[in-house]
Amino acid sequence: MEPSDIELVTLAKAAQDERAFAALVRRHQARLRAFLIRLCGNPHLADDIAQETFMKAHTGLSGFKGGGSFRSWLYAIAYREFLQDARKTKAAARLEDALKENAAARKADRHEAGPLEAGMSLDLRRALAGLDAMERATILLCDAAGFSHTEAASVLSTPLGSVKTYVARARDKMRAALSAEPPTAKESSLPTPANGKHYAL
Amino acid sequence: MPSDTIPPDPMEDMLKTDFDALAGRLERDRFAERLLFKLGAKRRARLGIVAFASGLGAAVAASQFTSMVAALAPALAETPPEMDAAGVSPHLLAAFILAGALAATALVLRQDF
Repeated sequence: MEPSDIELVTLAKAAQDERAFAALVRRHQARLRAFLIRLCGNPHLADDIAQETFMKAHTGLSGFKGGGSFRSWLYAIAYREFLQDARKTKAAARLEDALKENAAARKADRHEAGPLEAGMSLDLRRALAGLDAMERATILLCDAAGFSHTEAASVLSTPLGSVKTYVARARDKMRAALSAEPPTAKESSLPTPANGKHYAL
Repeated sequence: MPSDTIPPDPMEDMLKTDFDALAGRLERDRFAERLLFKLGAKRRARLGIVAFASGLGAAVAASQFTSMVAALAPALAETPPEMDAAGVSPHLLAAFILAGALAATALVLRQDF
């Protein structure tokens, strides 16, 4: 039987067992990165944030007291890193990168989907991009990554009631976006620095 | 006829399917290995620094061994006879001190301190 997260954390803390921490990394990295990729829309930035998250988790493991799940604690670090990065860069430079990548992805859609975009429809991408960061984070955590509302509240350091509101609002916005007429080529361009939605905080 | 069942939401299904597929693809790349190598690099750098410092310390201590023995000799002249009987020579005592320093280094390497 595979050891639980808490058992691995205890082992990593008590015996300074690098293998225990490595097991935690292998268990959580893919879904954490998927969350970050869909949250910030840029795979390279998402991997940088994920790396920083695991580095911080490694050095700050003694700070994990086990009150909640390890997964929530890890995603909370990742979300804080994402916010910090977004504030630090003032969004503009990153937006430009995201725009370029999204433009490339749209171009690739016509020919061949990229490895990280394969399977994700342009409509879904556009609908996600139309949400603000908090709405996007809550709907990704609750509807995509399988977090409970309580866990999401802990990750986002937000009251439970607010999480429910964000989820409901995000679902409404996404349904509206998905049922809307496909935009014209001009409208379909993902957020620009002028409308700033991609990184709106 | 009105229905009281909530139809499955295609949007939520789409999100979940996309997320699971993306995570599945990310599971197969080498991110974890690269990250663990980086984490290990920090530990290896620490080991290298400690090993270098220990080597330097041992070399300095070895070069001072004779003078350490000379310094300990007068102190041992005043040792009680039972210690003399146990064969505590200045050389042995100096060797004990160096062994203690090595043991302390080993504890630091094990990150006990």
